Amino acid sequence: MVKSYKKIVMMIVMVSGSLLASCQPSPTQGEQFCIKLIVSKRPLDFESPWLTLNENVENYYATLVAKNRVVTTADAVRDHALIEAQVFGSTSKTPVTVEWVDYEANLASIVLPDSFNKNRLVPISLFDETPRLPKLIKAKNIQETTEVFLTFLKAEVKQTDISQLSYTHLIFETAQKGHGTAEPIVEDGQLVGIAVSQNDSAVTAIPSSIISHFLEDDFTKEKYRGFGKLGVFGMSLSDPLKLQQLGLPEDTSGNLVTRVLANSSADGFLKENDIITEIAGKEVNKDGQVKDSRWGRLHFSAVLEQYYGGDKVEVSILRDKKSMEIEIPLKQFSSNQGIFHVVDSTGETNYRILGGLVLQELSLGFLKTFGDRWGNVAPLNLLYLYGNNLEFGYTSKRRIFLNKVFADAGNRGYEEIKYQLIKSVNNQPVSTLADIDIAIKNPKILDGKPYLTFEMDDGSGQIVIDHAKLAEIDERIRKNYNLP
Amino acid sequence: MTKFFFSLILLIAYANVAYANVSSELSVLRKSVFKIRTTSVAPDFRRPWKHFAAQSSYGSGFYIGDGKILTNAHVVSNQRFVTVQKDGDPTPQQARVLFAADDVDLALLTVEDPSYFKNLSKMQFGPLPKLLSPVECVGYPRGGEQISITEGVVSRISYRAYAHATYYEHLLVQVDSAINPGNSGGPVLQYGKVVGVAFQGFSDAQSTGYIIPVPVIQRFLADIKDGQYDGTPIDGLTTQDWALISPTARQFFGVPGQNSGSFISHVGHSSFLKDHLKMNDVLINLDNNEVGIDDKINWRGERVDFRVLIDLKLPGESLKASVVRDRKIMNLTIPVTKNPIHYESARKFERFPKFYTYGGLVFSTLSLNLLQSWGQRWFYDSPTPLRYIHTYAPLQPLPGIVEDVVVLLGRMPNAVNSYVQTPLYSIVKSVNNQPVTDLAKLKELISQSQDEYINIDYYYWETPSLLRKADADKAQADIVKTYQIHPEEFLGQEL
Repeated sequence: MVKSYKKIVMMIVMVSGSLLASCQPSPTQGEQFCIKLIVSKRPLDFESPWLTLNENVENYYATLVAKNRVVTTADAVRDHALIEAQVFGSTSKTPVTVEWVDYEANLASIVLPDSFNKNRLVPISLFDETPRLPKLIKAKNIQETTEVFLTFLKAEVKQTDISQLSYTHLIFETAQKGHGTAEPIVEDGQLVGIAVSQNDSAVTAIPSSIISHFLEDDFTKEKYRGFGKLGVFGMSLSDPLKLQQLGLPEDTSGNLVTRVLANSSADGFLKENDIITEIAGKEVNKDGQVKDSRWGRLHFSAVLEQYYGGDKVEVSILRDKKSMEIEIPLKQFSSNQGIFHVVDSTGETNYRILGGLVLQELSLGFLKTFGDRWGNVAPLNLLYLYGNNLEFGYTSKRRIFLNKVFADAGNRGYEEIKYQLIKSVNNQPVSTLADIDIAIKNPKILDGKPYLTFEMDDGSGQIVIDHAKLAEIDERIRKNYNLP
Repeated sequence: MTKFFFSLILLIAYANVAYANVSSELSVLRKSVFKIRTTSVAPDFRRPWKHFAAQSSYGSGFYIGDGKILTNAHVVSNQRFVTVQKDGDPTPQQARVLFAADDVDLALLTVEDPSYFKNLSKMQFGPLPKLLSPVECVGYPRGGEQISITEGVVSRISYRAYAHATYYEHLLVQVDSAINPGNSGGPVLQYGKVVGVAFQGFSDAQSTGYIIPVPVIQRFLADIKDGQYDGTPIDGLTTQDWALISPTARQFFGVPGQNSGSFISHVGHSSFLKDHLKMNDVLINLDNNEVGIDDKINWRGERVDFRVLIDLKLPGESLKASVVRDRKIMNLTIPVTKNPIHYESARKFERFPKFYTYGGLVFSTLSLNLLQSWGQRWFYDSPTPLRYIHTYAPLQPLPGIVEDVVVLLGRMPNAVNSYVQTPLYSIVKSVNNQPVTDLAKLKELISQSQDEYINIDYYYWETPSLLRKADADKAQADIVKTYQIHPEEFLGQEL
């Protein structure tokens, strides 16, 4: 949950009584590892993809992890037009550039320029143990930071706020509200994690183990290896009946594979009904968990967080009651590998306007234009597909939909069509905008006249445009509706 | 366009009626219009063996001769006990429902004693009333003691969904604000003849009433002549609105003229037209009426949806259609047949929803009634797979599914199912790898299985349910007793 910095400051004023009572002077007084990021955003407008939504300014925190490098969340830097860094106690703002973003792990790295005043800044080292007295660092006022005492509850593998992939998160408890804008959480002057959201009293944070994995990676497009993911769905073996049905002894432990996604790391290595008994030497229990010395029981996929894309992981399985050892090379995954664009990392939304028809590839961003209740009120045909986003596995098999039609003499009768899936253009199947670019070059010719046709999903019909007049129609619509 | 129907319409069993001038002969009306009292019990679609508390409601009806009283189906739906009462007669008489046609919201009642109908005037049917012509609505609003008569004029003739079943569209006559329509089931008269049955009002347009016109009534009466109600033919056609307004599209599809042509974007698998019409056909003429680009025809002086012609047909009759297919005009004669078994998109009014329990798992079938248990905003609030499959059922989103979409409705906790993790409202796909095509098949696969285990798989990779057959069989009686499940199952059989 993104909360604006201003709001946080206001809340501190309101609860300052209790804060002062519970806060001790910062051990890093005079030296800081935490800075402010003032992020001017221009969110994409998926409804009218040639526009952006109204610009707004949000405040986040960033943590100095090396001499001139800070880490924050991907959520903080997404959709930014300008990012300015500021140290507490200073009034000067310095524009900074994003070095690297991993939208899946929800992390971003920013390099501070030489011009940035780093006098009082000292990098923080990472703390990768069970925290006992975790403290969240946040602004007390524009001059200095303060500490909020947290209680560590548990670690949990769960979906990040901005992607479809799951990572280990730390959950803390605090009575205070309004955290989750990348505030550092520390113990003994070391970084435990950074806060990403707060739901009632529970603060969720990305643990330092994932931050260090990210920071140790190579921040170039060719060399970034990211996190490896297996790509399987599993089921608990806690039901003794299930073990009996599989003809296995009652003390068999492990996770039953129910589905292997196409093109995933596991594709070709694991099969349905395999039982994953060990992963990287760690025993998997009946509920699919491994024992972690820091966090207790965690879903076995947490083990993979120590690997990079391209690394190999040892997996022990039971297949047809026989034990086997398999070495699986892990692939790096993007939640954009289903039929929907889930995270938009490019900073722009692609579309085509042809004969007044606004065509886009399916994206979660578009569904979210329907408001907080988008999961209920967005168009049913698109929502249904989103629920089955990974139906085809990790194939990046996209779908095109017609968002809306700009009414014009050249597209009469189609003005009210919206949110329809397009099967083919000129009878050539299309799944990406690039497919459309190719398909429109081959108009259908009937009686010597060229036509441009769009075949919608079954039941929705067809759209026919005069191909010879396409340029003329497009130009008229561009002027009339003030399109770029 | 796929038709969605949001039920803004309220049934008007208790509509307010203002008294107005009487031009029909009151003495005749007194002898032929009845007050109907119904005690009804509605099933709970979430717990299909249960019912909601019994309710009493009032409606009207009128005598059409031969010992038969015509009323609305919704006046007697879910009925357990019905009485009819004449104006001025102190004694309500127990009545029996002969036919209830929920799709057109019409029902026929009778009383056992034939002498009851002596001295009654049989009401005569008139034509489809003209726009702006006067009508009188007769009935017993709010179950009042005296007959009530109100006046108004016909304000619109259209083709749209009836509120009772909420899905199927039929011919409909709207009467204007000067009158209220009287209560449900009462006759609407013009020059002494019945031109319709008052049946519904709009919740947000207070003095607008709707009546079921005579062609729909007469089709119902003709349909039941063989002792069985077959229902209005399901056209199953999806048409693309205004697809042929552009000259470019007309040239492309080779459709002559300027104003005709309805573009057929889909023909449903349950449609009697499926062997005759095809996707991408352009319907230009139906029974000698030119079909416009607005999907309408000029019919009896009004412009109404071409589907009215199909809707009024009886099995055994035929339709003459002209279509443009592959740029050539084809003339077709299409026999009208009985509707095949299909997924019912409309509300159901059976005594019990179909259900089957095994090992404490309760299975039922998807229906509009079940979806409506999510409340008025069910279309947004019910689980996405269920509302998707319901909405797109005519396009058959689940291959092989004909009638039943089998849904896991509940888990009655018992040791035999304590590890079952399947989320509620998951859709059943197979039992021990054999496809479940309907609820009876589910029962058959489970009860006749020789396997040690019953493994139930679901669509969308939901967690399977696993039961040991011997244990589940043994626990059945205990589960049924503990949770008071009776009947234990209902698969649509006669009770």
